[in-house]
Amino acid sequence: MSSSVNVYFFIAPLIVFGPLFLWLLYSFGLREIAKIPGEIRRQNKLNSEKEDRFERERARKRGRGPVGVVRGANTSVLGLFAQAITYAWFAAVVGILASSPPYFFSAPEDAQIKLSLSHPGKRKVECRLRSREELAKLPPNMRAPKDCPRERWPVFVELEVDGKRIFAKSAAPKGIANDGPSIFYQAFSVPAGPHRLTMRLRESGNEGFDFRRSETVTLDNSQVLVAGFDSASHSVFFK
Amino acid sequence: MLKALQSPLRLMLERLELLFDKPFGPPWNPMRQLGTLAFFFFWVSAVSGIYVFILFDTSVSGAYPSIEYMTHEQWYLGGVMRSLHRYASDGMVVTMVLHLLREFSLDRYRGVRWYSWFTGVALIWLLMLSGISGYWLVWDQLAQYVAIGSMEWLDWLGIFGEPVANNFLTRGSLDDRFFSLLVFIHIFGPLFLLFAMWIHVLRVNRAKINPPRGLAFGSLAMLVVLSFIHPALSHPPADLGTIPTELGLDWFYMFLYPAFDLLGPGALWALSFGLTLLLFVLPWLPPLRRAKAPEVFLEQCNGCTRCFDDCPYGAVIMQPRSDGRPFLQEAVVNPDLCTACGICVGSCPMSTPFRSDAKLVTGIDLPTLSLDTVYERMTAAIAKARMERNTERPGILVVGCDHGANISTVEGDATHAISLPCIGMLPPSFVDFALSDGAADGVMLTGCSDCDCHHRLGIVWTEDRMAGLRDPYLRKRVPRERLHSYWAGPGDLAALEDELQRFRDRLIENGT
Ligand code: HEM
Ligand code: SF4
Ligand code: SF4
Repeated sequence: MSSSVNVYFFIAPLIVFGPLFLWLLYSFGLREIAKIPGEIRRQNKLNSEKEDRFERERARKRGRGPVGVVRGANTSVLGLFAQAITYAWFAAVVGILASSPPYFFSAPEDAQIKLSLSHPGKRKVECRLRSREELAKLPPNMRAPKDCPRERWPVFVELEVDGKRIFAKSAAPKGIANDGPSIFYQAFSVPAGPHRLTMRLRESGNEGFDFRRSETVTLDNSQVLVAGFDSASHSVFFK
Repeated sequence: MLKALQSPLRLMLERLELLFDKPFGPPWNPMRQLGTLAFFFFWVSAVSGIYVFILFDTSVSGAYPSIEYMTHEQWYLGGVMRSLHRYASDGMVVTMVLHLLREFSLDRYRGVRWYSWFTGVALIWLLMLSGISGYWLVWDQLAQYVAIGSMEWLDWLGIFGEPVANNFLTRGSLDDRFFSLLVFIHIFGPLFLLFAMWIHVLRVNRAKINPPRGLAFGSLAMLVVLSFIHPALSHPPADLGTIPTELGLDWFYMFLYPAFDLLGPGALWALSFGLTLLLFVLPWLPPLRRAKAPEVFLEQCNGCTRCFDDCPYGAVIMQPRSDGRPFLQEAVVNPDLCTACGICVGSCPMSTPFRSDAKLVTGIDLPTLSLDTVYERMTAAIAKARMERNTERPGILVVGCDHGANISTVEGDATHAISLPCIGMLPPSFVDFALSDGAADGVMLTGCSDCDCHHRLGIVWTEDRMAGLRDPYLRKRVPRERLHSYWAGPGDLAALEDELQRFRDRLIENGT
């Protein structure tokens, strides 16, 4: 399937929330710094530059102060040795936790069934032709001969493995006008080996199901099988 | 309630700090350099990342082999760079978490510091995004697991039309276009992170961003050695037709994924969002009771800019003179940025006790603890010390701060103490005064631990002033052998007492 997601879905939150967050920070955290008038800011910049020059000078002389116990960096052989041990200890923590202990996501003799489908339900109300009187009541620019309410039925999907129902859910259509596809996505772990799979799908307000498929499949160790709906051939598939 | 959380944490971290003080010495102590170390690890990760990216193939089918190539064929450079890239990012998580815990336990996140904390919380997300997106690019089984998990987690929000996880549904689902999106995320995530790190320290005046050279060198050497003896490796290549079984997670970044498998996306959103929200509002739970900001007394201020130079919070700005006196500038305090640390009081040349006025007035003074009160307390302490002194027991004035070792415990036996909000509030002329005409036999300065001043710059400025490196200087005439300092944190009281005893012995030896 082609990727229906474009870059904007990822950037959109950044574009929306990024500036909001920055604005928040600015107005509560930085404005008091930033709102200083230009002339004063320039003068203060000069002040700081002067101070920075002194500060560089000081930094060189610092640590050899004539008062008190100046506990400088420990560069004795013993100190360096002890530092090496500390570093080794830190490195061990980082090195070990960076790839262990292992996590067993799925047992080797298990397989996975992934139910993923995106299917639009039938429209709730079929399109119908508008009568003349109706058309006359509408403003001229909206006089479409057909009235097509866009709302769709929710889609209901059922999945059975070896006669046991493991999934049964109805999903509302996406979109503000309830006119988009209904979307299902769920993964199930099953033991590898042969299984009888049955999937049923209802896309309308009717009783019973509009689509169904039953099939015996043999799953290898760790295999992923997708249960979905192929919109081209209009049928349920296991693959 | 808050204290009950902070105190044990503080005790634990302090243990660790004191432990590291011995081999490293305070300036190189990694526990006192967590923020700078996180910055340093970022740079290591950035530089190695650029190298790795040069060898990296950004297509779905080419990514894995290109990383295998650098790991095995070019192990001596590409492999090492890859390992450095991974381990430096892991190091960032470790240092960031410790840094967060430390700022929290030391109560350095409320009041005017809310800004650093608040922006810090955003850094957690950006760092996680940067690290996790990096693991997608290897396109091995781990990448497959982490990518699918991440996408399923995102899909729960239902903001994408089709599940994003469908890009990983079957063999061949993942196309180069989507893969480039992943690469894009891993490049822009860290760039945003860097930008946010800059924002994070924007309000910190003279923020320490780089670790001292010795520590930087040591940490880099550590990472390089680790990279050689335990190189970063890939899992078997991704195969969307199968599920991975055993995974060597990078627990620093992926600790939540097993929880995701267990609890599902909804619970994990609740957890991560709830925790983030809690962290965001923590500085106001409850808010810090802020002491009043200092007042400027224009008739004393000559606009020398020293308070402006010394304020660790950038709360003083110099403005054009408003009272017609013939100076260029005057100091103005912004209460929203001020912590009432008093460092500006210690920096003002007008803060001198050698004056005949009835009440001591200086250029800039704290309303809650005026210099005049400090003067009174100091003279009272000296008077007590003088009464109790004898040839065996020199009279000593100890000046400490409210955040360091609790100096009231060293009181007695001709030793008397005063505590300031920060040792940087002490004008050098007060030391001069305390030692002149034999008022006290000795003055001992203490405060927070070395290199770990609660107000960041109080200790450095004090040392500089006493050493004659920074205005206002301690005058030359002050006998230096009667002045001593030892920077002891709250957990370091015993060492302070030892040092005090040594000072006494020295004073007796010198015949004071
Ligand atoms: C990428 C990770 C981070 C980096 C590189 C970083 C770096 C820094 C640096 C360099 C400083 C200035 C230290 C100084 O000069 O004294 C600082 C201060 C601070 N950081 Fe972070 N930080 C990170 C994450 C965090 C997080 C996650 C939090 C908490 C949620 C946090 C909270 C603070 C606080 C409260 C301060 C104190 C500001 C002050 O003393 O006024 N930081 N950080
Ligand atoms: S009291 Fe401290 S924070 Fe406030 S203006 Fe003075 S030096 Fe700055
Ligand atoms: S240090 Fe004192 S004299 Fe100098 S600008 Fe500040 S308040 Fe004025």
